[in-house]
Amino acid sequence: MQLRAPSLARAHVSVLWLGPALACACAPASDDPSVTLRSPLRADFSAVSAVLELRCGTLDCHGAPARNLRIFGVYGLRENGLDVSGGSATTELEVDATYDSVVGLEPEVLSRVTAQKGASAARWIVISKGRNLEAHRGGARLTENSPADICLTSWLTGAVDSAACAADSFGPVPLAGEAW
Amino acid sequence: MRVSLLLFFTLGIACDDTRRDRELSELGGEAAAVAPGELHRPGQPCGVCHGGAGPAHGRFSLSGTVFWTADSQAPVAHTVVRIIDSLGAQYAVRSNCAGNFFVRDSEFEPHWPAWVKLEFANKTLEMRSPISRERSCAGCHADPASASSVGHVYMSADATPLLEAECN
Repeated sequence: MQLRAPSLARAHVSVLWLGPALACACAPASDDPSVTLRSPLRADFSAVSAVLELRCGTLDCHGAPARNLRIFGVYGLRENGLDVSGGSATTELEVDATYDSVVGLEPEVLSRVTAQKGASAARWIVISKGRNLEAHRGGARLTENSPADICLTSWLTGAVDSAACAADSFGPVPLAGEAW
Repeated sequence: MRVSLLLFFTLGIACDDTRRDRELSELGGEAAAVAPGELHRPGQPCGVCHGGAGPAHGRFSLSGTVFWTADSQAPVAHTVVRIIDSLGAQYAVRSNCAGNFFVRDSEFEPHWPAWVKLEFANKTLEMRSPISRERSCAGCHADPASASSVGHVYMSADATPLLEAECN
């Protein structure tokens, strides 16, 4: 295909239109460019963190420093760099750090889910990965409607289901007739 | 587009190779007087070589070493290592005189996550957290214990070994 160079007159017209148009496009919409996003409350997060720590936060998964979602606590990464993994109980600072990491994942999606009181929570990556609705190497760690899933999704509604969080249990389940 | 994809995969492979080379290099050489085999390299992450990509033959689905205490490098022989996976399937293996144990993937391949407990004499110790995917115990249980490592696997919380294992 052969391209023709625009004539000088045509180029002149383009510059006349383009100049003001670009100036408008680049002008700030307001003095404050920040966007306010909603996130579920930290105050309600401790019970949720406890569920995530055991299910997702081991050293070989999200308790490792190289992960986008980092879960701090006794079973994985320690926040202060001094406590030993597997040692003392999870601290409030570690729950803070986990909260920061969790709400930092797809914050715009989380904001919409939070604003809509947890509706269609599977839009948010933590739920979709946890339920294995999208590729997740760890598989389904939060089966839909399980106590762990209810615990996490209730947090998105603004009213954590503490009973579901407390009811969550994640451990070995032997086959019928077998002991562990 | 094709060039980008090619570059992406090439870099991906290159990074993986670099990491693997580093892991292999960090293992160092064999200890004197211990030939490669079931007794070698106690405490090291077995899966680096026995992960299916070589250089060792075969693949371990789970492997590690049991020591007496958190501060001791004395191995524990005859520890029963019991594994249960997320489907309820169980498997047990014993540590040898070097404290080493391993499960070949042809014998048992857990459906992750899996849980583990150790039994020796009348003592049982159960790991508090699940193993999510790491096939080498030393992948998480490397020495020294730190903010990102549990320290080596040990059997006894008290400091008095019941007996010391010896390989003759």
